[in-house]
Amino acid sequence: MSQPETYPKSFDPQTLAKIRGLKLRARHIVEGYVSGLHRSPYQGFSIEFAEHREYAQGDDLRYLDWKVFGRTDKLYLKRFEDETNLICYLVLDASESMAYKSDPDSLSKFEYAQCVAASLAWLVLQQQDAMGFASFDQQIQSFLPPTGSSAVMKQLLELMEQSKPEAKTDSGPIFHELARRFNKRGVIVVLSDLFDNVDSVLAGLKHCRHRRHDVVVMQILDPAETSFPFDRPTLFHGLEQYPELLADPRSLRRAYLEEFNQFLHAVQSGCRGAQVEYRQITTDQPVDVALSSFLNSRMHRVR
Amino acid sequence: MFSPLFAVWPFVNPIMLGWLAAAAAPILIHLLSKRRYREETWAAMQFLLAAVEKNSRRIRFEQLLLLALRTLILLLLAAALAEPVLGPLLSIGDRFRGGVTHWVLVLDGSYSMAYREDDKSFFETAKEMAGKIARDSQQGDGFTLIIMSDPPTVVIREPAFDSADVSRELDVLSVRHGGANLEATLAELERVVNSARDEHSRLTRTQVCIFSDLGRTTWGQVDSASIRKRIASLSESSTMRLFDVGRDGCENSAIVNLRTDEPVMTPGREIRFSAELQQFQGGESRRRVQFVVDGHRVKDESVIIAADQPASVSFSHRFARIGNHTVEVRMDDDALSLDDSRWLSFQVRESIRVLCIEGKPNAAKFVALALAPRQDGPNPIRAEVATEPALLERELAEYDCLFLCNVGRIGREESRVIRDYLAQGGSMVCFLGDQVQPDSYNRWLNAKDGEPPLLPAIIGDAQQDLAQYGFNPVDYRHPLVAPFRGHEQAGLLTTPVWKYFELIANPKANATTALAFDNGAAAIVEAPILRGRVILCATAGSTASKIAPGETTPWSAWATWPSFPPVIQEMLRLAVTDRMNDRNVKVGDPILGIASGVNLGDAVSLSGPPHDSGAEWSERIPLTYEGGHSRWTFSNAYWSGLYRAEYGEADRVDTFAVNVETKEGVPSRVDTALLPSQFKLSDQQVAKGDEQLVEDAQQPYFRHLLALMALCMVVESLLAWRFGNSSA
Repeated sequence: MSQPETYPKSFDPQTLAKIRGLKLRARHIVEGYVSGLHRSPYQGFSIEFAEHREYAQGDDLRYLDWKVFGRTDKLYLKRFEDETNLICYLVLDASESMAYKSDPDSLSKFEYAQCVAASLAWLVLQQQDAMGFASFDQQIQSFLPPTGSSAVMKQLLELMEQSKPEAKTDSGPIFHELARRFNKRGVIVVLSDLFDNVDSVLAGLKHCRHRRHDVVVMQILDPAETSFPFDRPTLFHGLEQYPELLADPRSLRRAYLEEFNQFLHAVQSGCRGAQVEYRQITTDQPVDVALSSFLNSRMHRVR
Repeated sequence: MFSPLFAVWPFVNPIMLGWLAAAAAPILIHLLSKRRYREETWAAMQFLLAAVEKNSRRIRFEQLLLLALRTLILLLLAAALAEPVLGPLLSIGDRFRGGVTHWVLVLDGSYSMAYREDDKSFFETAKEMAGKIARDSQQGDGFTLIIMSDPPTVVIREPAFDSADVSRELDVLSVRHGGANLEATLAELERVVNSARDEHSRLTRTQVCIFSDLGRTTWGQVDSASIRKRIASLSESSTMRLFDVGRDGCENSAIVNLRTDEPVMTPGREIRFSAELQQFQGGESRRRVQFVVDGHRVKDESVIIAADQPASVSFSHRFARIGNHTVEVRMDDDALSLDDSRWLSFQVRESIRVLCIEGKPNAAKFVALALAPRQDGPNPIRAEVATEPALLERELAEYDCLFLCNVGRIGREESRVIRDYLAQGGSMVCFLGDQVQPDSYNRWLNAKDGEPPLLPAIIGDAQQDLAQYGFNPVDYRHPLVAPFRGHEQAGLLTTPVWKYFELIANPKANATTALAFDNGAAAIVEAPILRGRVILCATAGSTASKIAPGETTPWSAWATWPSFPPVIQEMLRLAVTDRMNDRNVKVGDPILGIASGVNLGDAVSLSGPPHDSGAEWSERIPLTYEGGHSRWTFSNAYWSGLYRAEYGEADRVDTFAVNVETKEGVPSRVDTALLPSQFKLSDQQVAKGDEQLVEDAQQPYFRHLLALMALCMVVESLLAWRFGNSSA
């Protein structure tokens, strides 16, 4: 393993883009991230406990087993009898639209989603919880059943690196399929731009919720998609089999943004209605900021 | 420059319309932009396509609107560069409505306009500008052409609707040699404008364009109430534009006078001529002066004219033959050459003929002696003594002067012949006496209603106190007694007078008291009457008049006194000098000729200096019969120089000299601040340049176009920002 100290302590996409390999990127994020925290993020994912665990700095003192401390003079966190391991399902959109990046020196939406997924997987496995993974476009490209083995991390990284965002997406049926496959309750983290039929997507997510999964949608967007910054006549090559379009962006900007914001609004309100946690992340956002924002909000929810 | 196409093409610089091609630039850019574009891979294509689908019509409209605005901006720029004028467009509309412009072109014809600068006179500049206006006018415009002279000359009275006619008239116009009467010109202008409006209803607009050097002589009275009133009245119906073609700081020198002190001109007699030269503005100048007698140069000398006082130059000449003679004095030309020459015309006669009528024996004896002391040898003055009937029997026109000496009664016939004689330019000296019946004098020579008096004074009662009076010379101011100045011992002051008639100066005559008695009563009163002069003496011109019947004391001993002959000589000199004035008139004054001995059927052929046509001219003038004589009048002597009248078969020629009134040559200008506000004044640079002269009717609208272009640019920027850059 390379020396992490050789990498800059920065998590902005441009910096990450310079780091080759998803594994290195994930490790860079997680190690840097963990070392930068004063509290352990472990609890943020725990909803059920099965055993004692040694105290680590940052753990909530409310869960300390004072009896054990009285007997052994060691600090253990109390775990409940009927608790099981957390299962985190990472669902990665590998459709062609995720390959877009407006800045050649930065990360594409897919690369960014990979980083976030790898980081989350690392954190979950570090916490002794289970992690499952699926990537999809028109169909499920790869599937990794949930497991708590730390060895799965390597397999996960390989699977993600092998995924190429090339085909058209069809999210709704995929989410229905995954809802059926994820038979144990857990947290489903969807990393996608959701450029699909909104109703279909929401129907799939609702299905997951129906299976009592905790669903988190992380909508990964490129900043150009939210601002449409073009000002010269441009020939737009559509991804996912969309046709080409020659247009004057200045005259179209307002109309495009109206359409796009309508889409975002539909997604947000749909998620809210289905009790799905929604987070919008743009690829110019430093990854650690996106992660900490997400984890902090989870921590507060659990408390 | 104006385009020849201007009349039909509403642009001053139509060649600049080539820039209209630039209006294609936005369209080309628009088309090129369709071919030159960047390429972008795009993920959120579904939203872009939806936006295009919903907004394609709006976007196309916005693009077309912006394209139209950008094209319009360039079109406006090209149009502004071409300097459009609305005149032709207006005229099209006017033609539909039947309304066009009446141009009244007024050229200052005063001789100061002949001032030359850069090889072109002010008058030529004025003609060019007037011609330019005529050429640049619209189809259907009417033109009137007036020369501001004294009196004003209307060259084209009925509006001419062909500008070529105006140009032809302008081409042959030359500057008059007289002054200009502003008020009379404005009055004529009013008549012309009103007449054109009444008779040509389609001439709905009137533009009065006056071209002048703004000389003070012409414009000095512009702020008078009457002139301001006329201008205000004119400006109610017309736009009045004044083009200043002169300039400040002009310098001029002129010959202001040419005269002789010896009006009695007989062969062999030395006649002295003197000329007066004056410098108007500028410093001292040295000029070369020539005297020319009958076309032959007789003297040439250099004269220094000081800045502040006139210089005088003179010469003497003896004429060998009788007949018409002329003397010309000329300077080398300066910028204003019209007043650099002056002429004098006169006749050298065998002798001066004087008729002395006596109402009593010996009443004219002393007068005749004083006039012609030598009766036997050659005498320049031939005095003939006759009795009263001769007044009606003799041909008075043959005499240069008439002396009435103690003529008792004046009747209707006498007054008629005297009037005719004075109307021909004759002069009369009237001595009173014991035979005189003042009532008949006053009745027939003074009291004719509607006609000028023939005597300078009303004859009152005879003085009755029988005292002795002397003469009071009244400071020797009058030419009759001026020779006595400094010669108090010459006898004038000691002349004894015992009786005289009281003379009451006639208010209708421009009378002057030449000599008074020591009690203040008038002794000699004289006045110019008709074309001659009448000198009235209150006392007798001989010793034949006695203070009372049976008395031996005469009315006056003056006839025997040494002061008598000089005064009689001066009287004759004054009378003959007036006769000489008939042949020497000022520009604008009529030339009056007497054609004694010429048949009424003959006409006078008059020729003179070149004028408008620039060529020699000759005009036949009909004779009229009046006062027992054939006479003729020429009223158009507007050019200075020598005029020659030939009387057909009579083989007689008269020469007349017409000279300029040199006050017009003073190159001072009126203060433009005094000009009424109704005048739109164009300065000299504008006037002489190629700028648009007919600004009002053909207003250049490029400023408006530029303003509109700027507005379009602002609107285009706002729309472009609104369409392209505003966020939803």
